[in-house]
Amino acid sequence: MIPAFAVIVSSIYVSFGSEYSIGAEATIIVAIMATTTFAGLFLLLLGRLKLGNLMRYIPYPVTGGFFAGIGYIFIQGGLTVASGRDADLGSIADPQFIQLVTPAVVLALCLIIGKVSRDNRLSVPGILLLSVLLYYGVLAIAGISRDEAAANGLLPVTDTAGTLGPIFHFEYLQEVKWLAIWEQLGGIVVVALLCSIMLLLDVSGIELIAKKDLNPDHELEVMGYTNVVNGMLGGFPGVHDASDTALADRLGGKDRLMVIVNAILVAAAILAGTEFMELVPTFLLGGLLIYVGLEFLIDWLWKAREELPLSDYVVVILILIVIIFSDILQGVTFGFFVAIILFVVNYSQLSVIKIETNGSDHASNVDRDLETRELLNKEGHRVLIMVLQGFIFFGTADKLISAIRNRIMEVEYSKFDFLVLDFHHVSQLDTSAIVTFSKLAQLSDRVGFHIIISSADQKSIKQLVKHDFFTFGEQRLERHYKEQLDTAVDRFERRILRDLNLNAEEQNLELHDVLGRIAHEEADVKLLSDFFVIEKRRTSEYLFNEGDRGESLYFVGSGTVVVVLKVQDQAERILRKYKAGAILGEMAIYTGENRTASVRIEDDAVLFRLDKDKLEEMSRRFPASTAALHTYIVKVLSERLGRANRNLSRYI
Amino acid sequence: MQSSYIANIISGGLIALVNISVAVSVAALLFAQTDQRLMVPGIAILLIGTLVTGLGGTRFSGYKAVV
Repeated sequence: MIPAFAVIVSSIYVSFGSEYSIGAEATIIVAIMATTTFAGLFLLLLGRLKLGNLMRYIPYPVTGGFFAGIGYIFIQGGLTVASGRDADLGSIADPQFIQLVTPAVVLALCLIIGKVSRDNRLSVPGILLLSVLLYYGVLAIAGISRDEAAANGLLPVTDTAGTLGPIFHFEYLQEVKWLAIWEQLGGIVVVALLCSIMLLLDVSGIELIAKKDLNPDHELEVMGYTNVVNGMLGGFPGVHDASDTALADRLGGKDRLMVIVNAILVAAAILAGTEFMELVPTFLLGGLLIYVGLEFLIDWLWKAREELPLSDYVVVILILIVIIFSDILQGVTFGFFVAIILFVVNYSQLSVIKIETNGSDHASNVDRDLETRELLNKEGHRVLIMVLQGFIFFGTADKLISAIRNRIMEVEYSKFDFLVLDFHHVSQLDTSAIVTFSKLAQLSDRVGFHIIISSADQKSIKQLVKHDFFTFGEQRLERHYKEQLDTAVDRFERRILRDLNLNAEEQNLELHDVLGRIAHEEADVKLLSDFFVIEKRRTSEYLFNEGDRGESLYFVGSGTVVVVLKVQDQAERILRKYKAGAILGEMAIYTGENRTASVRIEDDAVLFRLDKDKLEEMSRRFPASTAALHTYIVKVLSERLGRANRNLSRYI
Repeated sequence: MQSSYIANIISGGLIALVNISVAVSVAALLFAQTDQRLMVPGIAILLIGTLVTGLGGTRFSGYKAVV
């Protein structure tokens, strides 16, 4: 912020011909007031727009690097205060610099040792008080006067006398060059932006110091109002300062009393002047700053090496290096980009394919007769199902197409003809991923496989449509979208049945046909058929409802029957479909429990009903024929259980 | 309780010394380099900023010991 202000101040001064005048001073002061007020209004706006939560996107290692950087700045500031000159690497060769900073460094080390050996709230202030007494004692014994000490850099010189205020007089207003202020608008906006960035960074740091969550929007508003008042009073823009707050915290200042004492002394300095600072030995403030700086470095460089993963620790180190050679904002910005790159690299290591399965293990929710189901199980390898997950972007999209290519290259028997890509767990696609899907469309045309995208959101579908995913090529191969994975798999199951010249779902089975698959002897078929009732049901009728007593089982002769889940205030959800040859309602017959779901007729259906009492009568009179029925039902249930187990194993 | 009271007073005092020292240094860098006569109002501007920000923070922020 200081460089931005330096530009504003010097530019205004130049506009007055680089000569001091009341007008120049008034214009500089009003420019600062305007900048502070504008920064306040900007912070207020950000808070009102609830943009403070942007802070939550600051990665932890960036906050760590920020604190390590603050540690370095404290040490550098401490050396500068103690020596009275800018501290850089070249200073080490200067004996006078070494002589002046040595007491400060010794004091900092004493403070650290003192805190380690006897950690209480008064250990630091106690050592500081002792060092001041020791210092003035040595001066007295050596006979060194205050002026001599100041001349040798042992005490500071403030170059001011008397009160510092008032800084602005109303008669200054007529001297203000408003155009010169207007010309600094760019700099004023930069200061407001820097204030907001610094505040969000500092709030993130203060949360660690305070060990509590703060509401960043509230803090933005607080500093917004504060800076509006600050601007009116002629103050320099300011926001919460994590470094000062940390310094106070480490010295034991954890309550409002600390801030009040600070405010009283600062107000006293404004009213009475800063000459009293000339009594404070330079090594005291220098040593204090070095001590806090060392503590930050110990926490974020030494201790963090074991606490943070290597990649995060490297980010901390890199931020510190940039801060050393540039400034804190550039360091944090650089660290932020490094953290983003690391995140992208790490995230791209995650597999975009959550589950890979095939049509045998993940059948559709359409129940057909046992023979057809077994046939589909056998042909299931022809359907490759990939349940995708996460954000599909340039880092992961290529891995998806590589995985599909690998399946194509695999041994012949596992070659797939149909590909289902389920997007239920996909959060978003970026443009690179869309381009990859265009490549996939080309691959499907070249190799010859059909694709269905399922469970994608409207935004993803629109992107795919826009890039001709569904319409690419000559359209001899299907590329469709279905709302659910089950419907997508069902679509391909029907394709397989059509390839095998079986059109199972369009069948109109007679009771004789159904029972013929159960009992192979004609005589048994005849015996069993006497116990069944043929029911013709219309579309939308309910066969039974959830909670009803289970008194019958049904075979579907034709049409479609669906199991539905009714949820209050929501549309019915279809759980399963039953086509010709399928059996339903058998669970309640065996367990004696009530119906667990409702069953509705989807398309006009012919059903063959077997009531519980009829089944019992059948068992008594024709046990051998009934055994065939039981065996058939056990086979159906075993097939369903086996498929469910195989499917489940993919999710474990 | 007593040590906490004293620690808050001492830390507040030390923070004030650091703030005043920083204000003097920044004023020298920012204002006095332009013109020595801007040094005094410069220190005042910086200290008013420190004072108002500190008071606003401790009164309204979610953390009362914020500087």
